[in-house]
Amino acid sequence: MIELASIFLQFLIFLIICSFPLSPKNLNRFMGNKIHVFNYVDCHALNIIIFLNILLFSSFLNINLKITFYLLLVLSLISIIYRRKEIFFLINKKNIIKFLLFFIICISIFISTAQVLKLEWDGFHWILKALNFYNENNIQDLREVKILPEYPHLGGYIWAFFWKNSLLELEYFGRLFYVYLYVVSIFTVYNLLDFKSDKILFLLILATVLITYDPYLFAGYQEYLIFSTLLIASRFISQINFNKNSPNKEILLILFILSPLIWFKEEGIFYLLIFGSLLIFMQNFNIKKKISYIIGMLFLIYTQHHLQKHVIGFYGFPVEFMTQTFIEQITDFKIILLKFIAITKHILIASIKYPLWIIIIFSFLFLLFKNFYRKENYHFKYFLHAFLLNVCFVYAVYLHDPNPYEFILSVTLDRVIFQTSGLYLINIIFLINVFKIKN
Amino acid sequence: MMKKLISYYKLKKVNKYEFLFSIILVLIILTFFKTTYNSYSILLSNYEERMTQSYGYCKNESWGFQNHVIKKFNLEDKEMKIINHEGKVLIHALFENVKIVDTDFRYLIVLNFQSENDESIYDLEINNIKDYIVKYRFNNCYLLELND
Repeated sequence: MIELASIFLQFLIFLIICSFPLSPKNLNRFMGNKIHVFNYVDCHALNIIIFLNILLFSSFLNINLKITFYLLLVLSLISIIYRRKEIFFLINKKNIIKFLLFFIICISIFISTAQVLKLEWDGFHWILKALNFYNENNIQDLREVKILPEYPHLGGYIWAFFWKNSLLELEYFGRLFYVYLYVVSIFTVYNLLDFKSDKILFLLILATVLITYDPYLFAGYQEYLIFSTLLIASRFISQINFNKNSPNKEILLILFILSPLIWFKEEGIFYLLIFGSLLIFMQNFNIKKKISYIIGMLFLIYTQHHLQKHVIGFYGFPVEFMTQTFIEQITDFKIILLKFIAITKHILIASIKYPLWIIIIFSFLFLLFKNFYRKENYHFKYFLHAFLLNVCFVYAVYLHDPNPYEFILSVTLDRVIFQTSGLYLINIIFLINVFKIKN
Repeated sequence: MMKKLISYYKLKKVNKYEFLFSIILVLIILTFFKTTYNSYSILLSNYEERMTQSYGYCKNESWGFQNHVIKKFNLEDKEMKIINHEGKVLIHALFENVKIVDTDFRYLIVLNFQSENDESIYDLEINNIKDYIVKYRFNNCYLLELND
């Protein structure tokens, strides 16, 4: 009974901590929106991104996990008390039912995670990072981690943070935050749905959860962190007006949302580069401004490199860029062709495993058929180009990998495909909005 | 403020179709995630029992055996080596204060020892295995201690 009560309490803690510092009022004012474009769920998602950055910062300062937790909890509670009237006015029929749906989905996945406690293969690598922080070791001690010390640590830090700051201090409480972020990100993206009927909204949210939920990936893997961050980013990208000169604030906000990616997994660097650069290049800016944004983005990556190398003491990728095997393979047309076929085959297999990918491809094809590309729909263009670049990235990564490709493809490609599908899920909402039923 | 309060209490007047829709939605979620079964299972078995169910007592990753000997023989912070003879992943990371070393270990835990005919634990291909004595054994899982 105590364990179940602790799970409910953990939900409440997430809810409180992620209510700080932004509220719809100050976010919309900051973004210069005359009408309330961003609602409470958007603020909650953005607060999570801010929270992740605070955790990243505190990890480098080696601040005690409990001190950070109580500080954030007190600040959040003060903020809630201060904004009590604003929160009270949110209480209406639609919001209550939406919150109940959110609550039931979160609690159901929390309880499922608590019941099936088993970590899967990569989970045992990532838990070593979490254990480092859980045992109150410094960030410098990550170099002592026996397996893959060069991997980014933010996911492990979050894990340790909520593991340490839970009532029972059980391992899986740390992973519950991954679930919370995932559910919040789905609710955020559905703010874009142009339907009056709540029933359709709730059914679509539920369908998305059913399609994208994979308990295996909640067993210690970091894929959902990337998936959810990209989902949140896509919601805010859809708010950008590509035709006009977008305000700096909007672009900076999206780069800010994308920035934790480089601290989740190594490929996050490439995702930031691909999705961030594309966003900048598609803006109606002069070239000087574009270059300054790119430099800013490269600075983020350089900072990560610098901190990993000089503070933690480890930096690198599991696969070197220029190896003898790679040079031998790249000059052999037969190997390239075989690898290309194998990658395509495994992309198809991954699409069956995660049908979201198939739905996304169909939605792209349908919107292309509906002349969305020619209609100067810049959002659609952005997500289509991002998708194509992402596919090219997948091929490039596996063509470059010198390891036995059939095995590597069979155990990793499905996850690589899944984690970025968060960015394109918005395309399905565009598609549904086309079929808008007036009611 | 008062108007809001009144409208809040009017929530009780929910359309019966909306109510039915909400119930169906909740049932789908509870069924898909097996929430009621999982809650029951959590109520019925504690964390350690569920960990043993997930990782096995003396099979697969053998969490149950490791947990038992670490507690029984107070092995926290003692230098030890763990071998899963079946090749399953090592899960010592799940124990907070376990010191794993590759050499000069006082304790050796062998999980799921695979043997043929009259092979014994001392047939394991470890250099100084003969220097160890079996301190505790459950089926094919062993805790060995260096015999000083």
